[in-house]
Amino acid sequence: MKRLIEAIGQRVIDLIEGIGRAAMLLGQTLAWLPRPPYRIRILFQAMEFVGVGSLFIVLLTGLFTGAVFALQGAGAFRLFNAESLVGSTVAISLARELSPVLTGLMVTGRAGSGIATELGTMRVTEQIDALYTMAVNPIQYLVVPRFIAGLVMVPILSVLFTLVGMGGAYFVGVVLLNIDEGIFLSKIYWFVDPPDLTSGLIKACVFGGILTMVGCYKGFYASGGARGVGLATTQSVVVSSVLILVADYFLTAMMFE
Amino acid sequence: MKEILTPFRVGLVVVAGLAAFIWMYGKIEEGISDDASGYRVYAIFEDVSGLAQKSRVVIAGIGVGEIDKIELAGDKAKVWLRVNTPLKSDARVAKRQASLLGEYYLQLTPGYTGTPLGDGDQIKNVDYDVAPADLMNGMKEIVANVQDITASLKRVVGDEEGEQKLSEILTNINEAVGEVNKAVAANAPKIDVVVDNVVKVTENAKHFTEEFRRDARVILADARKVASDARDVAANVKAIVGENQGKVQEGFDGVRGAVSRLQGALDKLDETLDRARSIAIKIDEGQGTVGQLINDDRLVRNVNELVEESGQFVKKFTRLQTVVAMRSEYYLGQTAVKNYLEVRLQPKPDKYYSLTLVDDPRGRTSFRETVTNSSASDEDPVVREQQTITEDRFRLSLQFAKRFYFVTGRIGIIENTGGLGLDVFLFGDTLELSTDIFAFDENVNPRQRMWGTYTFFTHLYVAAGIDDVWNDELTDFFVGAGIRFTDDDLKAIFTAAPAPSL
Repeated sequence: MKRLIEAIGQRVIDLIEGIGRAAMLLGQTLAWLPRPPYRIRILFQAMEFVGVGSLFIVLLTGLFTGAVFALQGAGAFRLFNAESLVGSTVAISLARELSPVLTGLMVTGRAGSGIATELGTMRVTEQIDALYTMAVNPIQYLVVPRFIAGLVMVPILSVLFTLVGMGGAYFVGVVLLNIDEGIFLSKIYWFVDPPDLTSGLIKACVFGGILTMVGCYKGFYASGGARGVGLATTQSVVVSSVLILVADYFLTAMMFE
Repeated sequence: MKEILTPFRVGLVVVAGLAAFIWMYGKIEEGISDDASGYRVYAIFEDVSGLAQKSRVVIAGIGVGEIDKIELAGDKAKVWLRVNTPLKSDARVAKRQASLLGEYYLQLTPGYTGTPLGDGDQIKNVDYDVAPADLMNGMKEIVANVQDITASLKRVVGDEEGEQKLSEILTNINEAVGEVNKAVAANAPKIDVVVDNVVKVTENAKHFTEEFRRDARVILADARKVASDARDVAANVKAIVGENQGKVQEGFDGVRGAVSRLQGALDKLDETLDRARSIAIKIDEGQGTVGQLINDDRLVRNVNELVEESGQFVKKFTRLQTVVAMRSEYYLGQTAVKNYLEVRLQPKPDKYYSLTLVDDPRGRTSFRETVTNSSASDEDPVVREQQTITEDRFRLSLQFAKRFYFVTGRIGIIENTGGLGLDVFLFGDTLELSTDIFAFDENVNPRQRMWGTYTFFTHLYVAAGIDDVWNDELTDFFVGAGIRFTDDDLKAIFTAAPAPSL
């Protein structure tokens, strides 16, 4: 019983400790963010890893998300003879929710896990400690570029996700289901407002920050050899995904209420 | 290479993302009215269910704005519209249903008169559309009515009594049909008679045509007979001629005699014609009375002159206008009435002769002084007797008048004494100021009358004036009225009235 309580207590302590360390990491990252030296090359490598590397998977996801949404929406709206609303429904859904969330999840799966693995490996192989000895701040060197890459590239990927998703919806709606093209497009233009797009961007930006920070954190504090690295990777994906969804709720609540 | 490739790839993605964002942003921005532009007006609605912020506001189906805000105002809803088109104060707004899903939009009518609406003004005219709920309520009422009807139907037919009634109705119908049958049967003989009559009529017609045909046959036969008779006659003549050639010769001789007599008659006719020709020649040459009559054109000229003269005479006569006037004047001092009857002959517009009969209550006053020489009296042997005789009798005026512009001068006999008169016409002849001066020998001073006449209707006029201005004890005022006809009016009267035989 005592052990159970101890275990629970330890878990809570670990959790709080983890939150604290994550917050400290975030704080240190933000603190190091504006400081020189600016390692542009490393930043671009990070952006390539996060953005370019995830581009294909994100576009593929977006295309089929829009297509399947159009298909489902048309089936539902057909009941009311309101198929013309398919385009605007898909567009609003994509711009506000699906693009940032799914992009965030995709990038988490691909880049977040990669970051955690990379940093975890560096941690367990004591490369991070080596950086300290070289008087290079590992946070500035490793975390800051990745964090910036996440903030910048995820919104961009989200926008492209929306665009491609709308392309998929257009293909399904207009080409396959013969919905009136003019009505389809005009309803999109009418119902979708710039705030829908910008709110999606803000979300994507936040999600990009979350997933890179979680990946960095999990990798940075990985321990226990190769197994520890694998665990950190898995945990980073799980935690990032959960955090993205939770944050999405609160962001939506903040933006649209 | 690798070092260049990394930024290039990243840049490519960033550029693509930015381009996509800008393009999409631009596209969706087209669909809404510019948030910054436009102005806000509000309308009070009873019910805004189905409307939401950002709901469309359209004019003729074209989006001109959106709902900015919906707030509660008492028990009504205050809807703020942001529109980017000018509205007038008589603008109307109506909530319209876009689909059966309960999607609504606002239909604006911008208005045509009134002051332009500005930011924060109210659209006062709000039209209400039929909401599905109202439709449902209407349906409910209809259903209730239908139920009532079916219920009463059920009451009527549903029970045994109803069935009985129905069967009674059927029986009645049966009876009625029977009656109709009976009626037809009862009238069958009459109908037969009618049919018989028709048959008879057609038969008669047939007979008639047959008779006609027969008659025609008879006529033809007669004609044929006549022809054969004629043929017989001709044969007979031929026979007779053949038989009696001698007699025929005698007949010819007779004819010859007759012809010679005829010749004689023709000779005589010739002679007659010759004589007639000679007479005609004489006439032609103007010999004899008839010839002169026919050939001399003096007669015609004379007749023409005569006609012309008589034409002028008639013209003059027709130009002569006759005016008949009657006037009564009431003398205020004497409290008596003076009457006039005037006949005016007017050969020219500026000239007339006036004959007036006057019935004056003052009568005709004359003085008579009788001087009697008497020797029988001790007193003054000479008796002077002065008499003033006033006779109530008609007086006569006969005047000649001539008009110069607006002044007419009159001269002649006025009320049995010589006198002068002057009329001044004013205001298109409706007002006439006149004066007469006459009776130079009657009193101390001559009698002068001055009066004004106002013609207020074509034939009616009123007058007022002063009489005997210079003899103080006789001066009097008068008012009067009269009636005046021209001969046009008289003509009309005389033609309308039964004409006396002259």
